[in-house]
Amino acid sequence: MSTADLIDYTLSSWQALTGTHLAYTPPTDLPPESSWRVALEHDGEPLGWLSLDRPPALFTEDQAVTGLALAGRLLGTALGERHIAAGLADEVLAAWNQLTFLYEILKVNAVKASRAEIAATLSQLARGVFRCENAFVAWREAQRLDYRAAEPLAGEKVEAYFELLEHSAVVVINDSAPSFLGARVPLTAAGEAILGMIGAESGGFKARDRQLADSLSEQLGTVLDNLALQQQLAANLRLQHELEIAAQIQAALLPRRLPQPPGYELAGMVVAASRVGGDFYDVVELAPQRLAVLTGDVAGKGIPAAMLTTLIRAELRGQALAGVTPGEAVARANTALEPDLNRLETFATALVAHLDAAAHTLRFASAGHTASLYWPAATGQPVELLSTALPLGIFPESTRAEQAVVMQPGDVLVLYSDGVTEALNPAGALFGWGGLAETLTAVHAAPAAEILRAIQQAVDAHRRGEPLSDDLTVLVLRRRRPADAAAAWRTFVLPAETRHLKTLDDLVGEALGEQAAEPNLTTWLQEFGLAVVEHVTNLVRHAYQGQPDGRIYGLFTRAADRLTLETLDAGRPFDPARLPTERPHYTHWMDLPEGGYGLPLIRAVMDEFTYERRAAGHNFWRLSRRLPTARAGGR
Amino acid sequence: MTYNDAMNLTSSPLSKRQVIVHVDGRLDAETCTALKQAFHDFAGSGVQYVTVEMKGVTFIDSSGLSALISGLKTLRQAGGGLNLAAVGPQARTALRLTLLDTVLPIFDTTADASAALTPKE
Repeated sequence: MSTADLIDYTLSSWQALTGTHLAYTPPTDLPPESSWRVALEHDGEPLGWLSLDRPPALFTEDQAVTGLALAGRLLGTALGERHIAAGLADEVLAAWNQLTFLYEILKVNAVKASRAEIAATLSQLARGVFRCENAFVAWREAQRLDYRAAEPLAGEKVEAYFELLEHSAVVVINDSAPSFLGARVPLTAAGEAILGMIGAESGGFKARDRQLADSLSEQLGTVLDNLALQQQLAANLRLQHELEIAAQIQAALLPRRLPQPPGYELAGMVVAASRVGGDFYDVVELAPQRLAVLTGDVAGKGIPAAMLTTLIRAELRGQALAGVTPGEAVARANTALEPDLNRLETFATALVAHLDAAAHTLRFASAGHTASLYWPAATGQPVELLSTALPLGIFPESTRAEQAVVMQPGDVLVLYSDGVTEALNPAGALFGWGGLAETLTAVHAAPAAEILRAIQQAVDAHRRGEPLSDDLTVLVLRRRRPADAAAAWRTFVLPAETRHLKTLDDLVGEALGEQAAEPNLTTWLQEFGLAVVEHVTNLVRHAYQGQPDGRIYGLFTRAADRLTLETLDAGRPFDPARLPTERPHYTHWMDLPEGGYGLPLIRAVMDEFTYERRAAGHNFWRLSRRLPTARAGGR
Repeated sequence: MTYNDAMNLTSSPLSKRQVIVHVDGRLDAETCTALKQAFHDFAGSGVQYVTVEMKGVTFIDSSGLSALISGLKTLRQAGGGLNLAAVGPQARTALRLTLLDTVLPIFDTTADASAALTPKE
């Protein structure tokens, strides 16, 4: 029985019982004028009125009033129950709609959808759920508006709705056409977004719609945030992957094995401050005894710099292979690359050196590259080889100037990028030319690979954990001395701190080489190692007195008959009068000193133990001991 | 008690006045202060006799030996003593080169070293 049937049934039953006409007025109309009327309600909710034109003739007035009240209560209760049932149905429908909405949201989130796709789907859905003419999802990022609507919708209107939601999270407008229900979408990602419903189909948006819009906008916010995050992640992963490939390419472009021309040693390394860098080096064999060394540094770091290094490297390689002289190669590289570098508003340094290992000539040209260090064995004073031209990309014109040196036995050339001299320690001090020159002073007699090791360790000891701010490239070229064949070397550079002493144990063994494993050398090696630790401890404690930025340079030389350690430090000078002349004797425990055993111990172990204060403020020590076999023959 | 990652000290008391100290690891300028401190702590708490078991010492230099001398003097001045036990080859080299093997009492076993220290009541 429908609601209308229920009313008709009540009215017709009354007619049959009383012979009078009973009228029903719905709650939306004005109340009937008759005084014979009763208001229908259920739980305080008005449901309309029942009214009579006149009381029934057969009834007394009381009977008529009671009858009318009874009919009103019966019909009111019946209508009220129906109303509740209808309300419940609406609630169920709304909940269902909400579930559908959420389900759709989850579904769009699962696939790789774009924001526009999500907005298009959800605005369609919202129009159905809210039973309105149009619905839209709009977002604004960096002043750019974009939106998707279920039905065509003008951008200016969306702008206006955005304005409306500027100051409140939810807005309901029912008193002007079309009605509007809007909710701001809460976002943690960049930008802002709104959800809007336009033109409610029945009368206007209800409080229930408002609640629904509120909770849905929250869901939508989560979806849009997740999407933004997902896209950012995907982009990051792609970038990581590309960076990885770039690093691999760059590593692959470094020479795998450096050619060693007869009578020479060549060693090199690049340490990139970030994954990929702007430094490069390469070596090209021009002829059996001739090679070209190329190195350079592109301004900046990361992929942009790395891309340019490949370009410059290729250009310089091409010039070298074409047999072009260093000065000419640098000039041609500038001519070829200047327009590109200029357009990219960057520049690069480049150095080309040609070695003729037969004539021992080294010719080089440097376009603004860091001054190279040349160590002439004859003078023992490092020389700066300055650049011969401006960096590539500064001016279209370039000079063809070059310089030449004749390499003598024991001479060392160190090519390096400014990342070496500009390496900082925690106090902000530079490693500097001084650091490099000091390292060479200490270890110039060692082979190129050992000099390279010392430079790297010296920079590390200087940095003391401070991260590299720039790429670090070092190339060491050394002309061998005839005597080199008979010896082996091991270099080290230690920060002047006692906690590094333990690294000396392995070093001593390495310095001795294969022989370290021989059982008859066990005690000899223990004694030598102990003396070395005593000596370095003295440098840490007395020369540097715990000064944390002190560095101790060491060079082990193993000749056929002896093992020697030479150290260099920039600490306080030593008073040679303190060198013990004879071994002490202890007669009573009361007289035992609590220290000072180190120097006599070194003296007892070493055959040679000498000190020299040098002009540059350096302490130079030499500790040497004959190997047991040599000793047996020699004494 | 652990003083340093490169050196480890453990002690076993024999009586109120006597302990055995087991030293493990490297005794150099970096770690010797901890050993020296340990001897002073023992003396301060009434311990007079200390046996230093050296078999776990991988390396000792004159800084480490100085810590032993410091302990020896502190304990002897308090009327007690310090003996070394189970001294490995490297430590023997260090003792020999500093001539300290002539003044520091050295025993083959920890038991012998402790027995030699036990005060005659």
